[in-house]
Amino acid sequence: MLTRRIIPCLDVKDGRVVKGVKFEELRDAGDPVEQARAYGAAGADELCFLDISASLESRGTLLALVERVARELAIPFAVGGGVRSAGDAETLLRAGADKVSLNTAALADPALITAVARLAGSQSAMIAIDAKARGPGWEVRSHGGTRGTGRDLIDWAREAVDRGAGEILLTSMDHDGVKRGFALEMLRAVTAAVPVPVIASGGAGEAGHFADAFEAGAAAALAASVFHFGTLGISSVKEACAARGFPMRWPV
Amino acid sequence: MSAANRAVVVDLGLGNLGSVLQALVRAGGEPRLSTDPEEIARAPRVVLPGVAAFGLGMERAAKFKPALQAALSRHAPVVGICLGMQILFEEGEEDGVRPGLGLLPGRVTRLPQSVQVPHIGWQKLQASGNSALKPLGWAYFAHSFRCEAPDAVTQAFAEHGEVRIAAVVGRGTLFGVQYHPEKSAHDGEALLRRFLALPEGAA
Repeated sequence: MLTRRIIPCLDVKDGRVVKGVKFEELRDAGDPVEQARAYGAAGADELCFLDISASLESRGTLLALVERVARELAIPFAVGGGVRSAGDAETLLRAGADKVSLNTAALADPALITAVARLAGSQSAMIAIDAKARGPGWEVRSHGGTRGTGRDLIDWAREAVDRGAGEILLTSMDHDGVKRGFALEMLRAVTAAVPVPVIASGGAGEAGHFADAFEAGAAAALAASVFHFGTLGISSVKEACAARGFPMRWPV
Repeated sequence: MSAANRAVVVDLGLGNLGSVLQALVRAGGEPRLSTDPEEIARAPRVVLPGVAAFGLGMERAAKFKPALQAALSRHAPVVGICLGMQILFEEGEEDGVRPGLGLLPGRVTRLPQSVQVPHIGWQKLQASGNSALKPLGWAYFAHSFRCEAPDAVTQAFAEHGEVRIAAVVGRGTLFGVQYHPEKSAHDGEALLRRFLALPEGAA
């Protein structure tokens, strides 16, 4: 039986991690490779790098980073942020990323999802969706959540999967940063609508929140600040989820 | 230079070649990338990695079949990883039915809709036969197709819902690994170490 996954997310700008990480053994707290290694040793099941610089000059820095991470990290990692074309995705995958996450560019040109899935297989084509409550459902937001798209979340999730996305990284704009738990109703709606694994994102504040997300159907749950600031350790989250009956990769 | 851990990695120009090379280095190996059938035929050990669709994989791999057969006839250990495993079989149904390398009996089919597809994530391997690779512990899977391999060549499996996935297959010195040992932390590295420790093929 597949275990549920715990995924720390690192925001990267110009090749450096933007938010700090409280791992004592780090020599350089801003170095994504050091942090990746520390998370790997701590039992993270996967890592997610989100490039928030996304300027053209910074792409080269990002590629060098992906190469260094691939060299040293023995767990899978996804890279997202500013992927605009199948060529961008191919370059990242060749540099050593295991998955590429698509967001704004896929909303503008949904055929991009198919192009990446054909190139690397659906399991490497992840669609990241930022959504916000609207009326009885949720609206998809683009450009880092700053713009409305008018698109319904469930429609877009279904379309992305039909076009070849093999995994959905679902972020609740309403819950993100609030630390009161993941958006469970939204998770239940999306996991019921699509057959692919869904990664819950936005709202983790305590270990029990991860188990709540799994109960709502998430295959994996992602968090940034609770891990970076040392509020929660990977091991304590895994132990809490295992105690609630979810299979976890623990001990590693 | 130790001659003990040498391996020639077949460069199909696909997928996560870099990850596989780096993982072999971390496992103490001396990998050498090659597109030369002569070199592959004479290799001490051969690794066939790949992440792509079956058809594309075969397009790139077909010309290496005689070289792989030559390596196997010298009893050189050969391992296919993920798509590199799938193309060892007789045929695959991704992008229409295509012939594979036919080095192992069985077909490659899409995972049924009754289970979550793609099959992505970690699970523990279950041994189902003797294997020189001694597959154990945690394995990271990421695939939508599986090898329907006979029990006689299945050495470890994983259960995804009601579907039994051949995780490690082998016959003689030929092996296939469906999951990604290069991304499977300590246990994955241990499997690569055991592959690299298998006796080299005859000179």
